[in-house]
Amino acid sequence: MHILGISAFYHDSAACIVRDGVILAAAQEERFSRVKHDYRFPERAIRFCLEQAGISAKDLGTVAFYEKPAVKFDRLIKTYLMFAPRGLESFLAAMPLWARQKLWIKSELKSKLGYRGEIHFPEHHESHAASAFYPSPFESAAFLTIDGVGEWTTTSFGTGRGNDVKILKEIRFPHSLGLLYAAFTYYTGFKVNSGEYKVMGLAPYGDPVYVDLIYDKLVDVKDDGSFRLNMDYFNYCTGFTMTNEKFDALFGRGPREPESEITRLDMDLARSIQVVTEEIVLKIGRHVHGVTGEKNLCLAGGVTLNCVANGRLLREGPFENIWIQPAAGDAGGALGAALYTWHRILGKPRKVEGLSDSQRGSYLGPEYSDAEIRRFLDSRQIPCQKLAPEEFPGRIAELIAGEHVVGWFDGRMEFGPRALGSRSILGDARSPKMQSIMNLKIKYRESFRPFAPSVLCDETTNWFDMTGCRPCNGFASPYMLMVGHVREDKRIDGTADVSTLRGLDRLKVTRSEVPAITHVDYSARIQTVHPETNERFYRMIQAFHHKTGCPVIINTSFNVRGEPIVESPEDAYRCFMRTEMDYLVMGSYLLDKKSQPPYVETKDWRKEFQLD
Amino acid sequence: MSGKLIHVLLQAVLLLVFFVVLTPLGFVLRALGTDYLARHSDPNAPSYWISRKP
Repeated sequence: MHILGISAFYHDSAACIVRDGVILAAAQEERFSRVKHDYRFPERAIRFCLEQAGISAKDLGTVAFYEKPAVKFDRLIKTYLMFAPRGLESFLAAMPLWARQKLWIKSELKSKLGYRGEIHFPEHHESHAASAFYPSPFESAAFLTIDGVGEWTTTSFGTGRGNDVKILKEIRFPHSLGLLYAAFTYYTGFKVNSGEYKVMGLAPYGDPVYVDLIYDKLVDVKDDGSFRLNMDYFNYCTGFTMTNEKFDALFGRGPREPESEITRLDMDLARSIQVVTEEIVLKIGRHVHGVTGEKNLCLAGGVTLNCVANGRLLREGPFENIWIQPAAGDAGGALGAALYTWHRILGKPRKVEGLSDSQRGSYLGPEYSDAEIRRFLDSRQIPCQKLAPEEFPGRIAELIAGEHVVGWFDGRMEFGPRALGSRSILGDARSPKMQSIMNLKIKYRESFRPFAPSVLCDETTNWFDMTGCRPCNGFASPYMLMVGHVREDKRIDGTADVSTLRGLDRLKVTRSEVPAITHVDYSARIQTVHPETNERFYRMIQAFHHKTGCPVIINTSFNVRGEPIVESPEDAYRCFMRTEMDYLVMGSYLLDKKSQPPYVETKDWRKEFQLD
Repeated sequence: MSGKLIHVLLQAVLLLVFFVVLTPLGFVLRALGTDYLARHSDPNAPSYWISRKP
């Protein structure tokens, strides 16, 4: 039986098809529509999923939507009741959308899909819990879901056993770790719901000087990790901004203007909120362990994309193993809703395959065959070279080792925000200038942002300290959701005390043998690469290792800043030509920038993409 | 009916609902001590976790 799961209307619409419990396809709408974080009804993503499954809408057994709109509406109305007459503007802005669309999911599906059958509506956090537990490698585990807010729930934990998930306890709106982090994201001048990971990346440049203030004034945290926010400082219940003037008064200024210079205050705020988040997550983790007695933990919900907190939880927390849903945000709700329907509503059994998860490397999106790629290249008369399978790994490895920036387009597109060797831009991690080259000439983004490494799974422990992580089995880090540290013997100036340097000066220290992926505090957001899930990527990095002695390369997502990750050969070529990338590999085809004809732009693309 | 007219009418209806229904109801509820958002901090409570009914 085919189940279609859908998430839509808040951020990151997505669709997923599960057949008899097996994930056939999943993708975010933004990749097809080319609008980042597209939250509209995911028509294109659904169409892709149906095509991949080889069915049409009428063949669907059932459909699942990732949350309960009526309960969400209840929360909205009750919130307005608590503040009225304040909140009029917000009410007038929100209600038409609800009246016209959000309350009528069934008719949306009927008109857009031609589907008239039954629709299931698990709760938002039930969808998150399902996406965390069901694909995990565990027969039995605790789960923890943390996000901005679903209907009422913002944080929940419980247990998963066999084919059952059960939420035990929760925290409700407006008390939310996701919204707290978003408030600081807004205040430090980044975009809410997309800039949070920049705050996380900025944190090591600052000092945790506001931690006590945050605990004192903004959030009351109990020993068991449960918390309440002091709503006197936040505006998000009824306003259009996250924080208010009282919050401003705490730090002596208004929010940072986006794109303006990042100050010491911003860095220190980032560090402080990051520390508070980590500490709350740790406390919650200990409580969940105490209540459930489980040694395995599954995570989902937007806040669990905070891989620095995840790394701390693994290293310092009580759980032996942690598995995180790669599409931890709302897009993963589509997957969770479908699986929840199959296992919990229909009661179907769940089989765990040894030590591996059933996320299939998260390579769940569309792929393009060599023939299709060839057709595209020929249609535009694009100069290219076809590489034979034997020469492929060595040739690409050689280009990377030559300090060239290489676009890599291969296989099925990743589901989730990270590029994992399917739609990636690759570079030499050993090169000291690669971080700024790639930030300024490829991604056109803020230069404080670090890059992440992909490493051969069997070489991980030679280069990185990932206590608690066991590479080359299901408990590795194949999805770039854990942060570890570069091993001490690979660091340079390992004894230099980073904390004596201030702010961006911390960037000036060459930190390790792989400086491009070593953050200023020696941390790295690691992807372990496994031959079973991505053989081509593995073999290429292996060739690089044989050539250079280094099994680590830079893996950043294939897109320019503000653009969703590329989906098709056309998207890939466009990004290739718009940036100073040197080479592009698509399937078996290698493109050299120097041989390309000039690219004609139809409009100024730099204005087209909203800065995120 | 043109889209613009519908929009204006909808806004008028919403305004009405907000001031005639939501606002007075809100006052009454708050006067009776209802707080759907649990905005107060409780130093004596050992935990803020809410148990789900099985």
